Amino acid sequence: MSTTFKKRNILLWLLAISFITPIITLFFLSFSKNWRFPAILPQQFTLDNWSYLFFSGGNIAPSFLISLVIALSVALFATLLGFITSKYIAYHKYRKKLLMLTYFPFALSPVIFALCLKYYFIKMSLTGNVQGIILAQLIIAFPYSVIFFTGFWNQRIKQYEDLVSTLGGTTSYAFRKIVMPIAKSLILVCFFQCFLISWFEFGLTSIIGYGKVETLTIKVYQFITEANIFYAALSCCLLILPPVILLWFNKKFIIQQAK
Amino acid sequence: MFLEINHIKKKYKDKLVIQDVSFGLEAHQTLSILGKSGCGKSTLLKIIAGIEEQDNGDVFLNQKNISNTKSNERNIVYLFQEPLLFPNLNVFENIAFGLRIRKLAYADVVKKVEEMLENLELKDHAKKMPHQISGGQKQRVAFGRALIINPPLILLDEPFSSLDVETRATMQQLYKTIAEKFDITALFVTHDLKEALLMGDKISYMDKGLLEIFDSKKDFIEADKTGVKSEIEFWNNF
Amino acid sequence: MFKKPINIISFLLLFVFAILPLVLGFGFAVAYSFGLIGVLNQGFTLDNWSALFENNDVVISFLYSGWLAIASLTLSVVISMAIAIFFHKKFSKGIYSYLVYMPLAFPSIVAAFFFAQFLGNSGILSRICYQLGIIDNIQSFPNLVNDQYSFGIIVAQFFLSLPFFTLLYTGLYQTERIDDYTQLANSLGAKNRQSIFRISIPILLKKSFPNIVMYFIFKIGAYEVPLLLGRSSPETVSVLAVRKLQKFNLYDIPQGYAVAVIYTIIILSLLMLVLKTNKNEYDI
Repeated sequence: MSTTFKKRNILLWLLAISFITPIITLFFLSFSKNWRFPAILPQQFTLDNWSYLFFSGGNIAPSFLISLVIALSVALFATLLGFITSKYIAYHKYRKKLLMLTYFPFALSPVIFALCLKYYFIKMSLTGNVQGIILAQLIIAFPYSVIFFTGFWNQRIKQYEDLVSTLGGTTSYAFRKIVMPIAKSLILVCFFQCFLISWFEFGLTSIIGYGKVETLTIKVYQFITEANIFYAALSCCLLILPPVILLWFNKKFIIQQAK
Repeated sequence: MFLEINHIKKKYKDKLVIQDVSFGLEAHQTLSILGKSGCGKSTLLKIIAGIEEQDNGDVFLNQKNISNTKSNERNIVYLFQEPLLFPNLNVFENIAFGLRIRKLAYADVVKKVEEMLENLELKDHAKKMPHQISGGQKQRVAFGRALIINPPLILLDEPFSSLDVETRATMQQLYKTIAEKFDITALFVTHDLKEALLMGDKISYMDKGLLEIFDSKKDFIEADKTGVKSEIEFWNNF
Repeated sequence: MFKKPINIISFLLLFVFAILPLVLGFGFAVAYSFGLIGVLNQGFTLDNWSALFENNDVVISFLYSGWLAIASLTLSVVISMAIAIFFHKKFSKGIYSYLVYMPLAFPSIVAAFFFAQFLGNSGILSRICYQLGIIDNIQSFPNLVNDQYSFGIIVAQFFLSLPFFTLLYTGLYQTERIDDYTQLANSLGAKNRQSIFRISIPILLKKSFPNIVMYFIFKIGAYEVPLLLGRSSPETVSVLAVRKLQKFNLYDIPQGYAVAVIYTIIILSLLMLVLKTNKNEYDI
């Protein structure tokens, strides 16, 4: 009994380490210089990478901001529009067929999808600029949001709406006073998820953005191809930071909901 | 007649849910509608409430044709099988909901809701959220929420079917008292024989999309299809 | 059909953001691959398609993508199922329930970068092996990234998908009441092993099958991880398509679109199959 218990604990520790190592490694590397084989720890710890990239022309702060603006816009539009459209689909006669159509763009590899759409983006002058990337990412995030919310519009919500109507309230009154408050936490979760879809996106962004719009993921790729692992690690840290914060909040209130 | 239903028909895809239903009801009376599940009784109520649209026929309330009036302008309250309390509002606000829609002054809202809470023996629960009260209490709140706007007609769709036997008996009693006190006109749908007899001033039987009103409780008891006779036989032979 | 203006808006949104891009994109790829449009178009031709299949590269690319997806998925499913069966209590609350979320904070490109630093010749694992005296120079460390067995890709994909499946299975473990069934099986005389293999695993697998197929669909199109951790041959579908379409050989472009056409048809057919067989909608 005690040996299996120990074995189990070792396994758990291994798992825990494998979940944590990446974050710690990237964090350390972002403060490092001179990491020659075979030293396990870098020879030198420094703030140089951070100060160069943020203050001396390394241009990481603008990338962070651009990524943030794009992700917030995509999350906002996708969540809002998806919420509206999902209701239309959920109560539609051809619910199943429409839902399947919505799955299609969501399931395709974003990078291949972007290659097929690039021509139209060029024609609309939407390549190499922020608007174009927001639009392109919406093509992935919007279907996600629609699919996410179709489950919300069930028989019960319909009954609430009917009930408000027989009590004398209009559809918009029911929407404001009952449906929105019930959907609030779901809307927040969807917003986070869409934010992450955009924040993580690389392939589609590189093709529609032509590398001109330097989001954080694009920066990471540039640093990797330049073999500058310390700057790459630093950009990775910046990429991981918001999701870690978000996931913490997100999980916290998922648990609270369950209670 | 206060409520008049003329030749209502309703089809879902190929299924004729309501074949041809006509009947009338005097003011301040409760009509029980007895029927098995799937006989079209819920659909009939929803059509009268304006939540569903009929294919044919008209609904008259107080001599006025309301067939094309939107449900939120009909003033007819539909009570679902479940109490459906709004989960984001407390008991007080749930009851006050209809008054808020009608934009009553705050003092009036408080006065009316408190009165209603008193009538329904819910005074101690005003600040509680729906998940903190029992099934019977929820159903009472749902009643209060409907009654407070003084609707000319209330439609009850098996309102007590999810309650346990004891609570159910209490609620039936409470309904009788309140119906008298507030001069309620109502349609009361149920699949329970005893409840139909108990709640209705008049009784009707619905089957396969057709509705028949009995002139008296005696006729209802003597008719074969309502199942009263076989019930009596069962207890006699026991 | 459109009783209210909000319905018109909803339909337009759906059309503009979901249906139209798909039709336009697919149409463009088909037209280009058959020589109907494009810089070098000379009218309808099957040349691009026959050129594409002159060698096995494309077929290999699809099989390779499928293999990578299956390998990493199998790992994730097995490990996460084991977590759900043996450690479901540990992972439903406390520190582990937070740790298991960690990979969810990783974009694919960051995970790929980390594993390059961890598994590469001069990476952390190699350094540890050197310090422990297991290897005596950098060359004797086996290639674990950009390697012929795609070890690095599979590990990175496994890392990225593990939390997803762990959450899925620990959730299913509770909603499907596996504990009750196991107790029932034990009371009927089953040994622990038997109830795990005959009860727990079959139930979990059956319930999660649509999710597994969905994840497979996503992973076939994976781009960043194979791009950074893979070799130049074989390539995954996404990497192949990008190479053919983004490089400057104009003769490659129609072939690149042909790859996109094949990919789209395969994915959409798979998707239709899952959605048709699965009555409940796939939960995202």
